[in-house]
Amino acid sequence: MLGVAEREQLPVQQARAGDPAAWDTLFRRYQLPLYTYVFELVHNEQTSLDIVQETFIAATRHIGGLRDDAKFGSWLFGIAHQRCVQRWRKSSREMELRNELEDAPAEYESSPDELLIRREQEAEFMNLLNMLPLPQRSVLLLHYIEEFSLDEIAAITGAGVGTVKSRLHYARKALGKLLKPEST
Amino acid sequence: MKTPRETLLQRHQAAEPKLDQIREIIVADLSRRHDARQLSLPVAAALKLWRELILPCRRTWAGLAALWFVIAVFNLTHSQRSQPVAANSATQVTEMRDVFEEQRRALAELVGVSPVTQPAARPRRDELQPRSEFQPDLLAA
Repeated sequence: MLGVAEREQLPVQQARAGDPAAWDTLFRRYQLPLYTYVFELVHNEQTSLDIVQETFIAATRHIGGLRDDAKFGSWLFGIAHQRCVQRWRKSSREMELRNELEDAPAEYESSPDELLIRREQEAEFMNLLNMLPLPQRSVLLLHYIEEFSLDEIAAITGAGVGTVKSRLHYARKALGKLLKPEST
Repeated sequence: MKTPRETLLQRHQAAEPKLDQIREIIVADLSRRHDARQLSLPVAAALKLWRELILPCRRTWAGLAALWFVIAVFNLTHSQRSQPVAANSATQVTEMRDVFEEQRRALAELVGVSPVTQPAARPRRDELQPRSEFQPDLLAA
């Protein structure tokens, strides 16, 4: 399955050459998904805006380190994820929520589009999402926002593919209420 | 019905103007750097020097420039004042030389020597004799 970004033609090559218009296109494409991802992890508007800005600046400086142009999206989310982790380390407020899941990874390869949310379910969906522990929430957000593959999510979060699978399984289970056939 | 992606993105749509602002600032900075790279090397170096050396401490540089200006003005006025003094001292030297020459002439008249100093005449070669033939009585006479 192709991710959201993989279906688009993005001017990563031009951005490598330092073309400001190319960067503008890339930032325009990713600014809202990136902000959404960061906000849903840190729950602070100013911090989220700061992280998005830092991520964009870091991207312009370190674009040379990107090996595959097709992976620009996951690379950018990876930078943002690292910035979030740095913030958590500084504040260490939500550290207790970063519990590791030791259960065997479940087989989970369903499409993010499988879950459809009705207007009246939106608030409930957000509540359930925010109740998830950070690692699960992070994996689920990456899966939903950009439809990243398990490998890409593993690269972004720095976790193993098995761990990502497991987290996604438990996150999906937690959202089971919304996934019930009668509710969709 | 909406997908989770649509639900999530729509929830944060309000942040779009602020994100646009961030994007514009970063892209403007990139454009400036891109344009600077396009300029020729001396111009780019001069710009860099201006931005990194002059601009951050412009007050210090302005202060130094003012100080140099004051020194230059002071130096100029001082040199103008010292020129007549130098001219005066040149006249004094000429006068002193004349007086000294006059005194020398008067002294020469008193002693009875020609005031014009001439080199002593060399003894003729046949007048020269060995030291052994020197006769001190002749001197006494």
